[in-house]
Amino acid sequence: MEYILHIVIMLNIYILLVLSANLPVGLANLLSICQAAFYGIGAYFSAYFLLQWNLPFVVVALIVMCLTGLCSLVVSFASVKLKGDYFVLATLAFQMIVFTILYNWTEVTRGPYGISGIPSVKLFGIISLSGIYGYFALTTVLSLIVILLFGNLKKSPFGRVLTAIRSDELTVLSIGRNPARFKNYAFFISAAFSGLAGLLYASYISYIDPTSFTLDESIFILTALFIGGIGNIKGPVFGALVVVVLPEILRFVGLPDAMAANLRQIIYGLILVLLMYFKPQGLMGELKIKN
Amino acid sequence: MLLKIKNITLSFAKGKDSFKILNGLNLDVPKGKITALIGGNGAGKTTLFNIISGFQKDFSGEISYCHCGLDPQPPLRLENLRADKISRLGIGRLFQSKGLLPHLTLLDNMKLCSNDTSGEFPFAYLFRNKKLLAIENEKEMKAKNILTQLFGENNKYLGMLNAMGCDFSYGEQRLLSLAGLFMGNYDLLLLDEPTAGVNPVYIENIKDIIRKMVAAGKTVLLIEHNMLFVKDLADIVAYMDDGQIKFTGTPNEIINNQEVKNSYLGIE
Amino acid sequence: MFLQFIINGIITGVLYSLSAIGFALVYNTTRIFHIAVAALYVAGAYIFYFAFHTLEFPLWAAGILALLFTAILSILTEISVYRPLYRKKSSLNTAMIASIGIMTILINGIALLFGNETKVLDNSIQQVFTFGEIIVTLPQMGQAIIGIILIAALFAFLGFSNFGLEVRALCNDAALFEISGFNVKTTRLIVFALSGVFLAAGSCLTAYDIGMDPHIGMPVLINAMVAMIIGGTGRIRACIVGGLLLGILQALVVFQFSANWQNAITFLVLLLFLFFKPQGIFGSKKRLV
Repeated sequence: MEYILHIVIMLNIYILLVLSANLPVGLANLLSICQAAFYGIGAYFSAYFLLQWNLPFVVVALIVMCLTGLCSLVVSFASVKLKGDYFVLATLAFQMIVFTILYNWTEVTRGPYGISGIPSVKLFGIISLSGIYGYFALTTVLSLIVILLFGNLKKSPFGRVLTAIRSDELTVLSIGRNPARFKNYAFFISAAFSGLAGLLYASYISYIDPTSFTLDESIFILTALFIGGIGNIKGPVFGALVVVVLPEILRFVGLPDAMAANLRQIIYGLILVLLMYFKPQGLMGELKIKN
Repeated sequence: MLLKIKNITLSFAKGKDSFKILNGLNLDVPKGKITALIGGNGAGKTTLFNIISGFQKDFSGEISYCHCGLDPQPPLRLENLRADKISRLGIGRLFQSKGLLPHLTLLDNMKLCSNDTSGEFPFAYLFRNKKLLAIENEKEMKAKNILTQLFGENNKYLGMLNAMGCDFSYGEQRLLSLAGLFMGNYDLLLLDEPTAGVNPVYIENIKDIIRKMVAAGKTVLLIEHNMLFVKDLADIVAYMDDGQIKFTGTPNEIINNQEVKNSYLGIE
Repeated sequence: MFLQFIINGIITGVLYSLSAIGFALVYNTTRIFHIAVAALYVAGAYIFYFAFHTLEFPLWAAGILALLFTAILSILTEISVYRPLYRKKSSLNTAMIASIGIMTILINGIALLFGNETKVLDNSIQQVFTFGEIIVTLPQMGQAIIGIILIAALFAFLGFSNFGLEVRALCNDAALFEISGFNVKTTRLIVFALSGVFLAAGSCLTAYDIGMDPHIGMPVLINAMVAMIIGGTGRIRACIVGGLLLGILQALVVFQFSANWQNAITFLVLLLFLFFKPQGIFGSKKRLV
């Protein structure tokens, strides 16, 4: 039972991550490979606030989301200045710089040793949320809230402008909207919710180290997004489901652990290549990836 | 004069390869009239539009825009404004060979052209849902009104409000893009080759739409290669060559001008 | 000491140039953000290892085999993935994501076959050459000499044939290129083969010196892209200048601070270039609207 709950908790965390990646990548077609950087920044900020301050969950969550969101300004600045592949490269650079800082700035982040003993979050300031059941409830509620929030976003006027930016920025400018502002919003929201995922992860696992927030993790999140599909809510949620549940299925098949990791990656790779040819909008997505 | 363009100079590729796209260009656009800009390929017409609407910077010269409401205001200088600000001042633009936004429905395309940006803040609907719904309905009504006025009662576009932009033919997309310009409260419209690639029936429609724009108090500046269209429609024609306005006059004057005949129209 | 670091930097720079050329050949021709380069690079090193260590081929034969098979592998990626996507007129981002897929498949396939641990080709103590204060090891000499020969050969090929021009024409407008009587398919195949050769050359030369594991590809790819951006996209000679500059810069960072911050500084430089001189050292500004 606890094993299943653990999987559901991780699934909820990945739903947050993939949904927030869907906002810039799926709606506005800004292919950023640095979702894991925001995830990591969120996790490290949370570790600091949970270890040093005794704050209720909502307050910690808001602080972490705002701080992570502010870090996203770097990326949205890049998205305004740079187009296409250059933007992809800039986000890659951002991801690598964040990882290098987490890894090498040992006085603050404890580098490769990681930070251990991160306390659980406190609901309403008193009840310390402990145990797997508590986290199961918390993450499920949060991921449902986020699904509801993001579900309306595409149909809202904001989503309309983002979709327009995806097609043609010049037109958006010529009708009096500043694409830079909307990119700022999109990245801020995306980073903030990735940060929230970081908070949940850090306090649930109670130990973090930089290797959870690598470029590979960013690529993994994008893989989940593209497998599921971009542009709607179903797609990212389904993508998260695939990447979280598939390894467990492989485990049941009885592959040795050393092989399972590589084999699973090969399966993701195959799915990606085949999808790009047969169904570039992903298994459940609405929009095709464009240039 | 609604728009005064003074001594615009722009060169690409600095250094020894530099050549001047625009070389001391002057142009006045009178209010409430249709001004047509003609000239050979590469004369700098679209570049001039880019400069007016703020997409091209790094030029020298002055652009002043009489943003005259009821009370006279000092003319605004546009040189240092960003494109979206210029648009909000009331200068709309139809791009050369661009149609509707392909991944939005016709209705969304029209709504997006509105100058009312409220509700576009993310999650705005969480806080003021009722008011936003009212605004959205208002925009929809306005879009339907415009379509009815332009294309008549019960025209087919009213039934196609939820079709995607990319489902319309190119000619229709151009027509509907022009219709979208009515959504924003623009005073000056820059139309870049409204008839290029459009069949003769639609050209008549476009003529009609542009006349309706002027009737609604808007000023039109358009780039056009179709001389019959220009002759029919324009009040003033400016002939552009070598990065300057060489002649300005009525359509008939321009067509009978010897230099325009030789170097642009190709008639002896 | 300082000079030693510069020399080391130049030799690393030559290696970066090789992989940058491998990436840029494909990128300049097809505009595909060819991430699978990382996997091809790893594949080159492992073919070299397999031929040299397991099949006990002589070193030069193993090297040639590695170049050959990586070129074939590179062609296979084109035939099996990129060409079908190109035929379907898929967007470039689609190709890039497919490329991520290829990379994942190849790298994990190699890891399944050879294991995740580090492999060393030659762990005997290397012969060194001393020039005054400067010490250069035998593998380093090999890297510099073979690298320069390969680059010179590429320039000779591009200089004495129309291939460079063809590639640029193909990049500008594939349809027009085809109508003008050239064969898009063949040109792309040659480009992919050449790219494979240069990647394998870079990886074999590196692997002979410091060994390999299945995950060395990504950092190399990233350095190659940075080298290409610094030099300026669209030109092969830019890759070489970019590679050398990057090598020297990283050596200086190690000299001045520590190896830990090498990556961070590399990416800062990349960001600076992207923001202030995105056209690179050799590129020129283009008309935007």
